[in-house]
Amino acid sequence: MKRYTTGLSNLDKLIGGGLPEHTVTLLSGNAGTGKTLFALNFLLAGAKKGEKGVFVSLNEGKGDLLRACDGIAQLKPIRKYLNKSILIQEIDLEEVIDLEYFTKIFEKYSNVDRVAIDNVNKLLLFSNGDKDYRINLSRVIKNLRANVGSSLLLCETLDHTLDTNRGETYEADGVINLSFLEVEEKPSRTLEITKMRYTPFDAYVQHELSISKKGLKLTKAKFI
Amino acid sequence: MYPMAKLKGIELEDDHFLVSFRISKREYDLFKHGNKHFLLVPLSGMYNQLTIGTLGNSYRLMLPKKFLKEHGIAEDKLPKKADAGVFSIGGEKYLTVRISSSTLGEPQFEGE
Repeated sequence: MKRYTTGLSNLDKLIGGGLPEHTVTLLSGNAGTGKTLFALNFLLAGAKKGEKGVFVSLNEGKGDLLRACDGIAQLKPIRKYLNKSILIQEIDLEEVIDLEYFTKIFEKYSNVDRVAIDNVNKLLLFSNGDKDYRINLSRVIKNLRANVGSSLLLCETLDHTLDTNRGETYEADGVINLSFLEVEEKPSRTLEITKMRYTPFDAYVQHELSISKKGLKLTKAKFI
Repeated sequence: MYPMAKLKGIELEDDHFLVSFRISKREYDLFKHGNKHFLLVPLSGMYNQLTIGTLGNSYRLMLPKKFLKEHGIAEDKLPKKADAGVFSIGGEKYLTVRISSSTLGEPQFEGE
């Protein structure tokens, strides 16, 4: 099975070389845990290999995202690939694009290798109740799985939860959770894999994810 | 009978007229996510030009080639079956055809 590098070599090693082809991975975590930077790094890693990626932003504007990349050496080269192999699509849900249209857009992503949607919570905001949200979420995932090489679905969660409690972890093929852990009174970013279809992995082991001016780095299990 | 578009106002902006309509959900479904590649023609002056034919169990309105040429609509870009509707505005009927689908939100990479 073809694997898509996550952009973090140590994470790739933990999941058999990368994210499995035609799967959708939920990247969940509290605000500030590094989901957006992780996703941008994921797209950049693909672009370096000649793959095409789209960052679908329902949250931040293109300018803000690029400014965040400019502050991190590892992510700076994203500008070089912009529009050629990395697109940042700002989507104004319900003001410009309605939910039904949005869920169908991904049927037309067959020329795309990687997609990151930031974030799934916006989908929830514009759905009529939990049932409608689950249906829309399922449609988005189905279309991504069928058309795109590897996709990340970003999900903002509250402390110690893996999703919004509306079935995201069940619908997705994989779940990577980012969180904060206080070690010796100093908060550290952690990453744990809790689900990854077609892949043997060690579940619920927390690894340290460091984000510095140099870039993103995953170090082997430090906290157990 | 579906509710039809209502004229809300006409304003002059530079050398253009800005016409605002209040439209129904059905009409919105025809326009949504696209703001160009529409054909809006008053039917009163078209009766002699339009052709009606049947395709399967339903009727089809056909636009003559001459009309398309006159208005610079390239035949090769027209879908075989286009979404269309008849709007009634102030007693006048208008035929609206979406001659190209919206590509809003679809990935368009440079050089493709």
